[in-house]
Amino acid sequence: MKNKISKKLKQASLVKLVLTTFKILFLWFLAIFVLYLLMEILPGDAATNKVGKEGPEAVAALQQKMGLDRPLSERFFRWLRGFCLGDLGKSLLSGKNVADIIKTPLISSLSLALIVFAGLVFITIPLAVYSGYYKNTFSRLLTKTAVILSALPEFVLTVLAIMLLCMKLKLLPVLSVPGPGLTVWQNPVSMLMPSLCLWIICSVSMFRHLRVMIESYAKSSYVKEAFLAGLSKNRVLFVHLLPSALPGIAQIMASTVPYLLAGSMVVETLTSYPGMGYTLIQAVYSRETPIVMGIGSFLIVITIIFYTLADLLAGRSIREEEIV
Amino acid sequence: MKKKSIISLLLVIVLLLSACGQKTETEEGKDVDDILQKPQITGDETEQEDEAQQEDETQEADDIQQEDETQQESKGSVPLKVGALFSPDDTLDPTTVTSPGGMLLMMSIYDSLVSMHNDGPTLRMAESIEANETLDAYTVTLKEGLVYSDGVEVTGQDIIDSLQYIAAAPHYQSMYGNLDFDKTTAEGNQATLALIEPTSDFIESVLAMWSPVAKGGNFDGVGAGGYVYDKGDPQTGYVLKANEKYYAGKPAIPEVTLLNIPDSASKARALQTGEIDYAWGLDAAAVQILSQADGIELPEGSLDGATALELVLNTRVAPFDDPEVRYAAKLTVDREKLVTTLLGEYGEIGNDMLGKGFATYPEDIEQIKMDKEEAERIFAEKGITEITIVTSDTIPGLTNATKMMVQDFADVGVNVTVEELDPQTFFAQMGELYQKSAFTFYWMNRTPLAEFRSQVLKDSPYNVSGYYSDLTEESFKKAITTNDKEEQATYIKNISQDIHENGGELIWGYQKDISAQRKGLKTETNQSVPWLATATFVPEK
Repeated sequence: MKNKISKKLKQASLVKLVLTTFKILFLWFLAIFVLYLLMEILPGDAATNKVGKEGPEAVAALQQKMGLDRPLSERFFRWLRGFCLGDLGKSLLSGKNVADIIKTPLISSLSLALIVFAGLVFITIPLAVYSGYYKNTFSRLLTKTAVILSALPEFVLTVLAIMLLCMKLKLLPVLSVPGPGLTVWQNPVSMLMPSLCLWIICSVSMFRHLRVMIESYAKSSYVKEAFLAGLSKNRVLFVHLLPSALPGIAQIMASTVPYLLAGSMVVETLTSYPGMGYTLIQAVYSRETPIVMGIGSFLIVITIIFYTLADLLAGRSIREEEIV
Repeated sequence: MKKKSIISLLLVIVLLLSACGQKTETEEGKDVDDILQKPQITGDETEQEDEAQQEDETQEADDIQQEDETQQESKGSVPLKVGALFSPDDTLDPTTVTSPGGMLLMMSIYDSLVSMHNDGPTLRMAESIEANETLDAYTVTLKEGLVYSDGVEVTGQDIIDSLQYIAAAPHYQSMYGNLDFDKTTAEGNQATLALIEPTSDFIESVLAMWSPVAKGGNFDGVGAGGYVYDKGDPQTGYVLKANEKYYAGKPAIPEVTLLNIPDSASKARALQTGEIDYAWGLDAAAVQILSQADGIELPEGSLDGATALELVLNTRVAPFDDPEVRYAAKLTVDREKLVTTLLGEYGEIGNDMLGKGFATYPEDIEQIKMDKEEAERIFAEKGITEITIVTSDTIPGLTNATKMMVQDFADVGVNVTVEELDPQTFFAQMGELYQKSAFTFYWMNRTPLAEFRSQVLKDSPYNVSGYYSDLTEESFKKAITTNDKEEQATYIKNISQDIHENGGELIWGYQKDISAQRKGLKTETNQSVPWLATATFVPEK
């Protein structure tokens, strides 16, 4: 009987895993199709961008050469087939392999995201939890600092950081370039300035959300009951409050990850960091659909996976609460 | 003895006068005129000048001193770091390069047969370029012993293969479209380039714009330029090493690092902190950052690489199909205010003609001046109260310029409706633009003849204003088929005058390229791109 139940549970888990995988694939397909469509809707294309000044005949000839005269569905499914076979295609303007173009930015952005993610987990979350749970001068100072910093646009904040740390104190270089032909890991100093700026930008937004969330959890009845039962403040926090808040924290973290990878354009440009944000924007400007799709499909995968993980965590947490 | 001294003194005076005479000739751009008169450039001209100079002892002493200084600078030159803008998909193939940094890289690796300066073309890899009598074939002879950085000899066939490869690229077709590759031949280090239509300005309008050469036309990073590609990519930058086999001798600067810095202000800050030595391509805001910086200099921009800024008065549709209304518009715009406000000290006022700064530009045509009273009278007489201007920041500042013009037109009783377009798609909508009364545009400043070819003829690919006349058509034909320099100058002036008075080009300003550098860097430029191969860099301590 016990074996039968265990087998049924395993089957149910397997079915759920398959369904989740299909859901991820379906969402990914839908998202990349929408992305392809958006690139198509944008006025102009790579050919008009390159030879628009030469007149409509030159544009038509180049469109034919680039294959842009083919129907949308044909182009999309050709790209999809290539992607599935591990071929991201070639740049429309230079003929260079998209994989070669996005390799350096991808490594740079992933590295940056990893460092900032670590900073968020080990610094921002503890500070936000502290600020939401404990009411003292330090927590109020943290809250006010976050409010002030969140009022500054990314551009201003990054420039101020550069002016202070690079120009005034001369602690860091103005240029966050690893050097010709080098990866950011071969010259880790190049990651300091952009990761610091990006960490501040992500932290101020995340801090405010988390602090409010923890504050509301701290006011909930089960926390009050725990205090009435005579449990210490730390025990209430680590044993009762945080486990309940974890799915919410995970969801906020999950929504931050795609931004870390693609939303860092301003920071990357101002620090000259060779990341994906700048490459993506340039590709959109020049209507380089294969590059946009190459970077976009990767970002979409990451986004869906992280959101799905957050949902699963949330679901599990709800079930646990129900059981309790 | 006294007699001998007097004779010697007289001889010295005569020699000095002749030397001064030569200098004046160069200053007036007469060497360019010589080229135009007989479309050829040969190394012999330089040798003759050298011989003449050798006769002048004072000049010789100066030369030796200058040579010593150059040698000292060459010996003391240190590696150079340049900040420029690259595109993520730039390659080592010039037909795919779209960014300024990419062009700098290409010129450093592949060099050019001939380059263009304000005072005319200068031979680089070519020893001589000579036209035949009928001006439909040009023979290019390469410098003796010219080799690629890997030691392989550069051949005449390489010239043909390279130009054919570049001409096949859509955005180079209009420039190299007159080459007839079926009739072009090569032998040894010579190539005879046949033209479809005879022209006397092939050197200055085509080859001098840029004529790179690679083995078999295969642009894979090996060229005969001053620098050799060592490593790097557009995202992280490039390292170039001095080419020991460079035809003019190993470049003084042993290593050049090109870094991709998209933001202009970041370039300026990096220059200030010493992370780069040369910030190439800055905006006016960056100049403010550097204006008080120690050890930094801002070279005066040149017009040979400037951008001409224009309001196109569309002659295809009303109201600018009327030459009087076009004239009224030209009198309306306050060019001085536009240039001062938007371009500052790096701007020059335009006079509705392209090619300013080049030797053949007719400087003596009177500058058009703002006269709002007269403009108001004409607009009122013609009943013009409304116009539409389509604008786009295809280069920064055009939209702001339009907004300033709105006030100018309002002052003369004309209400302007401004339509803004996305810069990325602006050129894709030329068909629609040709239905609008006016729109903003920009040009890379080139020689008048090169500009005429692409803009003022009935079939010119870039005749955006739609204006053409029998006078310009005939004068142009005569200008490109004559060997007489004075005659050609007259035709150029006739065309310029016609465009100035009747055309639809309201060229209000020229924006020079802005760069900044550490003191001690000496470079020459070709259409604003620095020639690193001949640069020296001894930082001031």
